[in-house]
Amino acid sequence: MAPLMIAALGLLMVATAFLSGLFGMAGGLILIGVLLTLLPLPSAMVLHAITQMASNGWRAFLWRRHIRWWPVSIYLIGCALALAAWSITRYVPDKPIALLLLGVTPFMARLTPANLKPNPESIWQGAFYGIICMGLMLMTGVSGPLMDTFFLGGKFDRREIVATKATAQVASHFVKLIYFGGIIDQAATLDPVLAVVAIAASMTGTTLARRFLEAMTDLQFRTWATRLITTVAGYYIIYGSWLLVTRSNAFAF
Amino acid sequence: MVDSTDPLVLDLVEWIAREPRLHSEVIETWRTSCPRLTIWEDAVDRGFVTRETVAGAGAGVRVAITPGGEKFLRANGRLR
Repeated sequence: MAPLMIAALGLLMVATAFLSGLFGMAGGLILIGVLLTLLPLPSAMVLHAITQMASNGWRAFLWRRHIRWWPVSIYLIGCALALAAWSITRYVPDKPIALLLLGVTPFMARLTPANLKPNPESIWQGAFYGIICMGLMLMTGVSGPLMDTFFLGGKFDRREIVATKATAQVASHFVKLIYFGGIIDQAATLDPVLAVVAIAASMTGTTLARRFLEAMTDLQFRTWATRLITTVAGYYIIYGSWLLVTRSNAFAF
Repeated sequence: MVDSTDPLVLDLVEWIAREPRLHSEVIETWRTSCPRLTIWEDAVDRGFVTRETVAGAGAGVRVAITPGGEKFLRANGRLR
């Protein structure tokens, strides 16, 4: 990959990690969307997996004493089942489909009934959420908002929630890396320099976000987080639909 | 999903009830990301805690619980 392209992607990753530090999941959502428009889908998925494993892995390591291993283990059962199912079909979505699903993902968590309390200790629920989240991950690259609803259902304290989710995310992104880096027919390769730049950029962006976070008021956080996620998700839905329509028209002629 | 973070809001209010805390200390201790849990924001919105500007030695913005916060703790058996 050309040095200029690596530098541009590095800057993009600093910016998205910065947003992620401020708003939680928006950075990953933006990064995968931009990577999908710049790179072939398997390459975008592999690069995204590397950055997310680095950021979540660091968070899980810092709070390793708070990880609840039982929910992680049963969640992994679901991940394994999803990987097995996807490995048989070796399904890779088209970009328009991936973008459409990506746009819908943040709203899935918002549509979850408020009185629904998932139990992260239940084997069946853990496996069910693992399959759904891993399936979503293999089609869109992200599953964070839906995964949040699962771990928030337990009686964990806030550190346990964040540490346990981060560990589950490392596992999910690792499965994604294996799938798009080795199992599918047109597996992606990754420039090692770009992988190092990606990890460094993620850490830089997250560190920069802390200073801004402290200057934001509570109201600003809520307002901007909602606006940002809705705008980005809406853009993906419109862009994915447009690609789908133009492709259909191209086939029609 | 307000209900799912209720126990955490309760923990935060109980923690502040033990002694008034500096605003910076509250944010530093209770801030999370990915998932960004809005525990502090929920406690403020529901009127359980309030910010007070303190002058003189140890000046700064302090956080204390409100009568509503006390009622919330009592209702959940965390304050006698």
